[in-house]
Amino acid sequence: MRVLIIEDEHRLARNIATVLGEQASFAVDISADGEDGLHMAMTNPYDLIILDLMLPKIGGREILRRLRQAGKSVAVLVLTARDAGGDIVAGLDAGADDYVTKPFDMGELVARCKSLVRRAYDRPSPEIRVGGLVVNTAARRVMCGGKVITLPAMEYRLLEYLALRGGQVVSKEEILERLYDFESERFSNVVEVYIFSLRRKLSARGGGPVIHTMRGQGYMLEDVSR
Amino acid sequence: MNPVPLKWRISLLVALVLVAATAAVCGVAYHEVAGSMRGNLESTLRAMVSGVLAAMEDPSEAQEEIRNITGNAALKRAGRYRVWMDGSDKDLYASSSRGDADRAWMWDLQAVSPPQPGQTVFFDAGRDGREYRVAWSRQEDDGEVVNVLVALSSARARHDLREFLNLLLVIASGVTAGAVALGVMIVLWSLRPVARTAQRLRTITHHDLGRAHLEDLHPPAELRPFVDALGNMLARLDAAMRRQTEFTGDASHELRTPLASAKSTLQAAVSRPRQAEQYRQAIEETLGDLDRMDRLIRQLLALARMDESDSPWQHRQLRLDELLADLAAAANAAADANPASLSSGLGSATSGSDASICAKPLPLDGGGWPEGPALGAPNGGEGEGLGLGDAGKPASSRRDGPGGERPRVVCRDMPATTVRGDADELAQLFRNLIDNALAHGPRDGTVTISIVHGAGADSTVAVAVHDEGGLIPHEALGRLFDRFYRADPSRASATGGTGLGLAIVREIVRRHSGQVEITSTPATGTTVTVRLAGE
Repeated sequence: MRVLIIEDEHRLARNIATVLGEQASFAVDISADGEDGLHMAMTNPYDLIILDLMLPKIGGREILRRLRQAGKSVAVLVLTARDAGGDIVAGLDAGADDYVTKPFDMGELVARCKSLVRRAYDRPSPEIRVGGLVVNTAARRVMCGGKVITLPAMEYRLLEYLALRGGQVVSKEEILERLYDFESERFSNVVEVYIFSLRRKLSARGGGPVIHTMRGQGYMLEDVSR
Repeated sequence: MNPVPLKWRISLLVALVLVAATAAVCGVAYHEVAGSMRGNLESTLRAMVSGVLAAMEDPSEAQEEIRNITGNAALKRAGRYRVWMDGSDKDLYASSSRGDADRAWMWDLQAVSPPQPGQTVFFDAGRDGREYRVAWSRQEDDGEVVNVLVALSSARARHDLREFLNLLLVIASGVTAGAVALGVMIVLWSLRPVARTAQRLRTITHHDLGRAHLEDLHPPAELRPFVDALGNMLARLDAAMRRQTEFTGDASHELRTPLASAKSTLQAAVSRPRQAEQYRQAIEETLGDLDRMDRLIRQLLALARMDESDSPWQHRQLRLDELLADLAAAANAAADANPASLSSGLGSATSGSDASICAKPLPLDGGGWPEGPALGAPNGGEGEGLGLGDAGKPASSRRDGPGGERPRVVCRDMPATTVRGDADELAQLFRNLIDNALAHGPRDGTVTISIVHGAGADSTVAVAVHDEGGLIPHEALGRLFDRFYRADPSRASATGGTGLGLAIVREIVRRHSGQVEITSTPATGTTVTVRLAGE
């Protein structure tokens, strides 16, 4: 999952990015001002935007308004130090999906972020089931055929994304865009490497779904037990 | 004391004026009517006297004739009369029907000073509580003088007069009572807009001020200034309230931001096991956040205290040039003492002996912390008075990121200058200006302080703090001294400023009856000039 943080307090943004990366396996981009942030939000397929309201150049509420005007349905979590009732209502009315006031609890923020992303994929339950595969996005635990599989962060990220899009063909470009932030190095065959590794681990447990390769189109996680 | 209601005061005034006016009118009317009644009586008497004198021409019929003449039917009661010759003590004719007592009374009337012959005098006389009008005429006839005395009761006239007076009183009191009632009604009616305004004012709370409440009242022209003044007052209160709310919101925002930063840093640090270096960095960053909060709280307190009292605590003479030199030296010493903040300490280390730089070494209490600026340890200013805790910590010292040089503070043109003021407050004022200049000027630039004395009779002292920073937008210049205003919000966290420095400057300048202005051009940089009254 790919997240954009638009926040001018760079240490706060960095801390959120760290925790989201470590605890939710999200790929995170950071923007320190409104103009840059709006541009990034407009040009990249983010699953979630964490938006500060008091920003240099373009304010958070204006960013929200322009995003919604442009038809972007990306989930937006507003982050602000202003918590007057009117501000919260105005933020939600402008199209925010959730609201957290500073100072906040990091664990709560991460939980809210995960919940927003799940909802964005129309999966309100933290557990995604595809055949014998159960991906618990809250605990970041993967079970296949009743047994726990331990996955490295990137592999988990890929499997979670494929599971969220279960039954759909996901292109390699989409995977690269969703799973990597700007800072990550992207090797041309990195997706193939992870897919290979995942396939091997899933088939070793048995009963799980299969990752199909659709030549020229991408990959699809499919339940073949039925 | 409960003042008498306006309606009663106005009514009383109206009543007094009306009573005076009706009394005057009644008095005049009474006088006229009384005069006219007396005139009627006298002309009757005069006619009787003439009749009596005429009747005496024929002595045989005289007695009967006189009785007829004096028996005025209109008066219902016959007049009394006496006719006698001068020197005689016997009446020629007299109304004799009423006996001796009556006659004796008529004789007594003669005692008043008699008229000249050919004249008639009129006078009042009373008997047994009855009023009479008396005419006494003396006529010369063949060398003898005939006296004719006729008395007519004036009871009827007096009775009529009294009735007339009663009528006047009834009318006057009726008019007065009516006028009072009308006055009360007029007062109540004319005060209705006031009552409406009051009703409207009662509904206004501090949550919802503003002149809009009074806009649809449409008061009469006389009340327009009153309602307008109320509206203006509400607008002023509204503005003050909004400023206060905004200030509270800004203050909470400014406090929450470092708090959020600190909390997130620590939570991120403890979310999983990390290396010692990472923990150390998290703690240092958190200490920096705490320091920022500490400074903000001090400055908020400073502003709150200055809002409370209008004048400095201690006014005394002090040497402004020495104060500025100390502040400049402290700022430079802080830069020298914190080479850790520089990627290369060489640039500034060599300039310490430059004669033009007021670099009196100021020992910095590092408190045993190896990393001065990053740790932000309090610098021994605690308890020295307001804001002194910031001593030696120019805002630029907490600038993060790469940077080679630090600006130097240079004193230029520092004539001996004495001003009256509060030493702590003035030190804080200029420290804030120096910190600001250091934070906003270029890293390798110079902050210049100079004092200019007013020419001739002008005893003001102008202190200019100049930096080589870029242009501040014109529209921002006017708001720079507002609380929490920042010309460039993106640098809020970069400079470490609280957004209150210049607001405190303005407050202190105001308390010293001075002036402060800021000019900024791309060519020369930014100059803040503070004008104070010199000694």
